[in-house]
Amino acid sequence: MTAETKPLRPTARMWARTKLPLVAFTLPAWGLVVAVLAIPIVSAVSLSVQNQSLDLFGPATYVGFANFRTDVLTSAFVHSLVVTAIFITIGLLVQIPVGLWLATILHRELRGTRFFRSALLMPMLLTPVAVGLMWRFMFNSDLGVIDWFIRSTGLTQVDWLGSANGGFASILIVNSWQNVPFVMLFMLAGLQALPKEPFEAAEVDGAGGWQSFRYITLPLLRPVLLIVTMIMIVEGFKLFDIVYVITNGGPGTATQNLSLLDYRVGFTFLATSRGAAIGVVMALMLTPAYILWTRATRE
Amino acid sequence: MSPRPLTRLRHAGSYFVLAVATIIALFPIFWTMSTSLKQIVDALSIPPKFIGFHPTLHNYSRLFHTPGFGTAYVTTLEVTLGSALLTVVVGSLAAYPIARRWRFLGRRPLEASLVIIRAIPPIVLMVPLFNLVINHGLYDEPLTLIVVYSAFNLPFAVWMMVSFIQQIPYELEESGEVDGASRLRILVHLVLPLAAPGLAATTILISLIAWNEFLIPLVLAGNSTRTLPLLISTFVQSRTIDWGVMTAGATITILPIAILTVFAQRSLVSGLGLGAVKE
Amino acid sequence: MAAIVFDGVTKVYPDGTLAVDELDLEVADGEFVVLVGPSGCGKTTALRMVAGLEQITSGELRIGGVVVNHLGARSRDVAMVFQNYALYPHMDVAANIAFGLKMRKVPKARRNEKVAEAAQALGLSELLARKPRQLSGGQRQRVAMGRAIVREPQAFLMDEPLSNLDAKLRVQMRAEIARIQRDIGATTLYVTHDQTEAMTMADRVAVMRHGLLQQLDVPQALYDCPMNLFVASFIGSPPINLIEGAVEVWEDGLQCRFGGGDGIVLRSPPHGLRSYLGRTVAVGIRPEALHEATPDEASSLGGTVKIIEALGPEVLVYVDVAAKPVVHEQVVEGAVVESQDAELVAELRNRAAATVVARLGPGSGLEEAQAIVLGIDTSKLHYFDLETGAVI
Repeated sequence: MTAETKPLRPTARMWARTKLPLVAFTLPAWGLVVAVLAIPIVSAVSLSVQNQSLDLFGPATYVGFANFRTDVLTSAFVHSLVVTAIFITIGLLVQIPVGLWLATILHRELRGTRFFRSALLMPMLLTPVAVGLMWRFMFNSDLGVIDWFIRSTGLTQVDWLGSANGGFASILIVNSWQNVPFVMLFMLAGLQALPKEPFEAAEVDGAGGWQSFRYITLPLLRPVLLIVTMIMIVEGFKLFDIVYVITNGGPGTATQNLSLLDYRVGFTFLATSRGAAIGVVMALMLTPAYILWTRATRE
Repeated sequence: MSPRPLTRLRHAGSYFVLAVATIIALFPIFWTMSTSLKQIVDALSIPPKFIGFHPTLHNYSRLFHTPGFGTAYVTTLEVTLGSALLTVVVGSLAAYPIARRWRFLGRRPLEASLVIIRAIPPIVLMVPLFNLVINHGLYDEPLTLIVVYSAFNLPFAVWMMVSFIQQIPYELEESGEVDGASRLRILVHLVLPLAAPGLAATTILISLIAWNEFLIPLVLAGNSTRTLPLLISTFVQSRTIDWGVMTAGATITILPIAILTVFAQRSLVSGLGLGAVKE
Repeated sequence: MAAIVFDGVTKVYPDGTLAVDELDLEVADGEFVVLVGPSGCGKTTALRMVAGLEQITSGELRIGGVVVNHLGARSRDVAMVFQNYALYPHMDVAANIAFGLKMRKVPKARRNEKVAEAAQALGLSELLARKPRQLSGGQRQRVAMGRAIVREPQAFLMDEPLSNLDAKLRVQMRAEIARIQRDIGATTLYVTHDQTEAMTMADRVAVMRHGLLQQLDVPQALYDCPMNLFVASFIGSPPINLIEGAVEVWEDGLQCRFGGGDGIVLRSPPHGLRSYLGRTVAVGIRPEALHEATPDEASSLGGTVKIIEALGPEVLVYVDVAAKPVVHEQVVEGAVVESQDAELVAELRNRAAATVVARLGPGSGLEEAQAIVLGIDTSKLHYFDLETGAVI
């Protein structure tokens, strides 16, 4: 007697046994995501097309794209966008080469590397607000140690906190001070993941230090460089704490980047709807980043 | 490679660069800490006194007596540890199915959401969150801070735990399955104990990030939940800045981190390294 | 092309490990020398010292008459083929081959010419635009060779280039490499743990063990006149049979007694054997020195057939005989291909009775568990001191 075997159909019970636990594991995460991401985003979009403001009483009304016209398509927004772009671009130009340079030195694993690594690591872990305060003290025109140093070595004076260029410079310096360790660690991980043999072969083939770096190391590090650049761009848009504490966007609005602008509009002016509008545009501007990042993490 | 004289020179050059970089990295910290221990006269003197001043704890006593300092410190501790716990627990749970690459309902949207949380400028979410929090009476509540902190740090926690879980051989879980353990049992009794160092590194790093949070409490914390970063940021807002108290405040804030870096260096680097490459 | 000379070269690692011990070795211009030995014998270290990838602790290394101890790898004008090929993953085949020329500032047109030539010689012309990850193991190996050939260096260094290929490909590439070497007349130092490669490819073979050179000679001499137990066990497949024999007097000459059986008269024993009278020595018998004994043969050894391997043109018969096997660390190291083969090592150490391999003609009609008497050609025996392992 042979029994006919029916093909196995995925039953609800099987799904409950295998896949349900997995979904259950992700539910708490979903809870956080919905509460802090999904709902606020929907709320932001809805706010942006109203005219809600915290200093006005009475319900808000639908105003269409008015907020976008008053806050996004304006010189203030564009100015903040430019400020953000400058911070990011110059930041990259400084932080990536320096970070890479330090990473190649650490990669040589000379004695004491561990000590240097933890020392160089510290700036990136410290509280940005505290870091801002530390540097603000050092940048102070009369009392700061930096000005004293400049005066005694005879270089040109810079009004760090009172001039637009000085403000830019001071924020770039502090931002780089905090970011270079991150780039350095990231590139170090990248360097350590490279296979050793092609380098030996290159040495036998006659490549010197710089040639080996240019023709072998750099091309092989390209994916890592791209990822770290993307991360730094995203972080650049987020920059807030340091600017708030050191220049607060000043002098005037010279160093006011997008995050600071949005904060000002949404909280200092209490115009939540207008703030929401700015935020929505900011979020949309980063869409290419979301896509690239998701693709990168999937590998 | 042969230690030719040229190589010795190159080594010396490397050490020089590292030394200069270390000085640049550590000087501001040293300067702030030493200023916090100076009397006002010494703190503001030109030329600056690097050494050779009489130390005093006066600034710290003024700091501790600043109204709100005590609550700020306690609140910061509370929120940091609370959110670290929440983040790591939720993150580890979610990291497990992602790490093992199973397909499940909502996987892609979850991964995409994590990317968005990581990449979106927080201010974008703070504006509507503020509204929501006020409307639901959740303003100035430690729990609100804990939940919001956790959401923002969730991507880090998940990605770090994914790397750590992937280092554990899957055969162990299969043998657990054969032995009759449920998926939850496998995670809690087999996977996580083996991922303990990774769990520790993740917790340390997440605590650090939570400790440093500024924008979230700036928007969502009121007088009773003011955190340390928030408090010290007010030290530079008056016309006359009390540099002594300010540097003391900054020092108190970064001191735990500095100590942690020295003692938990290996843990930190492994967590950062893995998280970095995974991203 | 130039000669490579090791003059008392020693390599000690910072942690104290002695990797190469006073190596004296000359590779003449155009000669193909193979460094062979088990893992960890120092052969790869020696090769890397020639390349400039390892620092020399003491002694002199000369390439083309020039002392190169302190010269960096890139100034030595040698080419190396690595075990894992070490191709540049981000460059295509053409760029990989051309890289060394580019580093030496050879103009582009000339570079392309040479690459085309090398590709032609190695059958890579169709693959020039491919990346390494798109190539098979054999193709990658040829690219690695092309990279070396195209530079026309003073010497070629090869670090176990065939060990990652499958058996058939290995045989093919062995012939290829040997042919290329002869065509170019390249001075070549080749490292391998496979004694077959050494025997078939080399002009001379250097056997190494624990950082020391054991014997340097042409392949046949290594087989016919091994200088110690290690070389005897290492060279030859299947390995030489080694059993303990007591040396005794027989009329004007000597006889040898294995186990408890009759003594076997030794034809033309070496002079040194006399001083071992009354003692036991290790006797080495190559498989082909054994045959099925004729009924009245004097020199014979009786035993039971254990395993028969019919290989076509010959039959390998494994026979358990009543004799003590030689258990010496040199034998253990020599006969085991991979010294990590713990099972095999343990088995060799635990042998109570000797199993002897005989190379017989086909059609002997033997069966397992059958009793057999093996005749020994006593003029072809090797004798070794049981303590030092040195040949007598």
